[in-house]
Amino acid sequence: MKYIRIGGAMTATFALSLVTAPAVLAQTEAQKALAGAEIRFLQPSMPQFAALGKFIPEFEEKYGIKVIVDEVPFDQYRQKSLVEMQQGTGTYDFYAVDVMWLAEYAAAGFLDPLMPYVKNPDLTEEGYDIDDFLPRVISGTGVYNDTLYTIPLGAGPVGTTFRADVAEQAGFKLPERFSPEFNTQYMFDAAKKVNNPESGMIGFANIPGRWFWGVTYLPYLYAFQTPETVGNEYLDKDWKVTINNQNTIDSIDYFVSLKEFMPADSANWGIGEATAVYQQGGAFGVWNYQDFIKGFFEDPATQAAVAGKNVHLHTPSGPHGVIDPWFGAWSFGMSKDSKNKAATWTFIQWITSKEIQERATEFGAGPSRHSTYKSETLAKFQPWWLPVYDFMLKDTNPDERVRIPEWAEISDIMGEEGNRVWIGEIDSATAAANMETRMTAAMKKGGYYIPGRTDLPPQNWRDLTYYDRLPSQWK
Amino acid sequence: MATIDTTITSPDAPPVQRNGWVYAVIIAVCVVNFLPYLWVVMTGFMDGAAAASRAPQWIFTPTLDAFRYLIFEKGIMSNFMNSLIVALCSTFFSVTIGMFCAYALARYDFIGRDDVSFWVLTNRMMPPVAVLIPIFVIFQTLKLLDTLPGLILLYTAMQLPFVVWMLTGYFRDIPRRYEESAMVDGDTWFQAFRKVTLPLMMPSITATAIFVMILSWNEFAFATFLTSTNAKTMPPAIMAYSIGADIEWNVLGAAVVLITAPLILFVLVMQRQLISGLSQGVVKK
Repeated sequence: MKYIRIGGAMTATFALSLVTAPAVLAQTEAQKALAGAEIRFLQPSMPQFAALGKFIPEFEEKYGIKVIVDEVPFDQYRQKSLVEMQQGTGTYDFYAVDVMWLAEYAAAGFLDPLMPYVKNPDLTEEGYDIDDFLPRVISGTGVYNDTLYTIPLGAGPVGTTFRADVAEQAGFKLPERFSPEFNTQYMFDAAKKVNNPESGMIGFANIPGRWFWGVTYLPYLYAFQTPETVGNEYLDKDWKVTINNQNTIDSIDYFVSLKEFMPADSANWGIGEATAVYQQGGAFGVWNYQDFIKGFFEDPATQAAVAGKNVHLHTPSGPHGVIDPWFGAWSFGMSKDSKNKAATWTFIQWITSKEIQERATEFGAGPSRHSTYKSETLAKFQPWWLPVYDFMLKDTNPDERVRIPEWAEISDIMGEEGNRVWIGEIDSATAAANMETRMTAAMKKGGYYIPGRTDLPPQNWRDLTYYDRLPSQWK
Repeated sequence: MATIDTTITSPDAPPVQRNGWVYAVIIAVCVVNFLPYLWVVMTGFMDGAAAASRAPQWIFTPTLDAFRYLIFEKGIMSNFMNSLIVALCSTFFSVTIGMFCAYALARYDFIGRDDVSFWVLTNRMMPPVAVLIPIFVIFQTLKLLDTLPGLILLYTAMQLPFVVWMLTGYFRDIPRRYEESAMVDGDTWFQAFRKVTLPLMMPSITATAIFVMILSWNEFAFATFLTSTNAKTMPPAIMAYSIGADIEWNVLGAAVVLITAPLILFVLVMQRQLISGLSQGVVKK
């Protein structure tokens, strides 16, 4: 009887070990040795980070590594992270890195290359599969000088969100994402049809605040190009500024024409103001960023007025059929001053693994892996991502906002001159001319016009195959 | 039985004016000042949907969700304690040190006194952002980043000019002969200062301390850049937890309640001293 009992217990133990085997085996000996380490992460307050934050306790329990997250308001995030990196404080082991800052951070040597960690079987779990990331997403987000510096969370385009129920009441049905029918004229007409400020519904909540033009106006600058001018939106092959042209003038005029739907005091509206009006049910349409959709528009607990009633579309194509090829992403980058690099990488590879990325989509995090795009979880909780898969594979342009150190200044110039048109101080032709003059000065200051200079960066946006390399092929 | 009116009015007293408009204006001013705060406090007790709704929700089911989120999920009470320690300590040190400095400037004549006074004032003119990086480097060198002593030291230094400038004027208003009389009776200058001047100065010192406390409690820029997780105070924590790419209004409302409640309590307790301190010196002697 005693033997039967022992045998039963052994069988049960064996069965239990089989059940728990994947989790136990997934951890390497080197990772087990990291138990007790403490790593620090600096991040901005954003919905996708909040979604991933829910998994930190699970990681801590599994690896015994403590993760301390420091959250900073988005407005202060860049300055704070730059000061910390520049001074080499080592306070943070890893940082959230926006796609637009990668060149600056990597060139300055603030970040550690990650491919050696990816290829280290002691620190990277067997099923990590770096090639599961969409090539253009991982290279667009994390590669600088052919070297991988960051691993992306979700990555996606900006677009527009509209109230399907309002359209239905007005007697029309909004088209599907990437339908050619949804162009700038369609959007304007649809907004005009439902615009009724007296009854609390404006046609479109635009974002004309001067700081935001680099993300809210830019899609229209692209949309108003002709197939012939694509690639020369602001710079030609010799880095000469080309923005003073009819396409720019038309795109500014279109962007400013949306003022017709907005209150008189909206000249400084940013993402927060426009989103709040939409969330309250006071606008028919609004700008969106793909990674914000769940957190901004589809959470029934906080957006009861709009959740479940939305259609998420692309930025409308322009008069010549061109669609903005927007690329936006946040990623994890390891500080060169980290004192816990092995533990930090252990966390990064875990939080960006197939399993966690898929599970995190339930809470609002976005996909950057093929497997996540194809998962049932994403289809169930964030179906608006599915039409974006092909776009992120083939059409998105990581260099849409040209990744040179002068971009911040270029974006500011665009915002300042554009906002002057919005408030009626100058016309769009003057704004385009001013943009060209000021951007040229910025490029000149950056040394782009020094005769005989041969080390100018490649214009990868003219041949996007650069970004299509398999992820594992980067250094 | 009729009540006997025992009020005695001096024949020289000016007639009491009972003008209803005065009350109307006072009420209007109070409403204008109080209503936004009341609304923010109410928002803190709403759920996310009610707080974000377009039409103001005067009637709603109160919930502590936002407080629960801040206190239990985000652990904001540790930020609260940091704020409290930093504000109290920096107020104590800046007022104590500044008081003696102000006394010296008010009572003693020495070479460069006016220059020192002016230099103290100019310190307040410097925008914090201009010295942010140098202070960051100093803190890094001295290993004061993300520490409470670092913030206390900084805020003490920041508030000293304000304290000195305020108290110098108040000290000058107290006649020197009071201390001289005490010293004639055998007190040392410090005893005269402690027994005679200090009690007279208490309302002014309290009023100054309240202002310093408010300034330290609300300081945002340095707290954001010089702290991370150990010494983070309420202002950067509140901004981070309630304002991301969009704003969670109920969380912001709850945060406003948490950050303003101690100050309101403090000022309510000290209001008699505050008014007395602020009005000191306004009556011509």
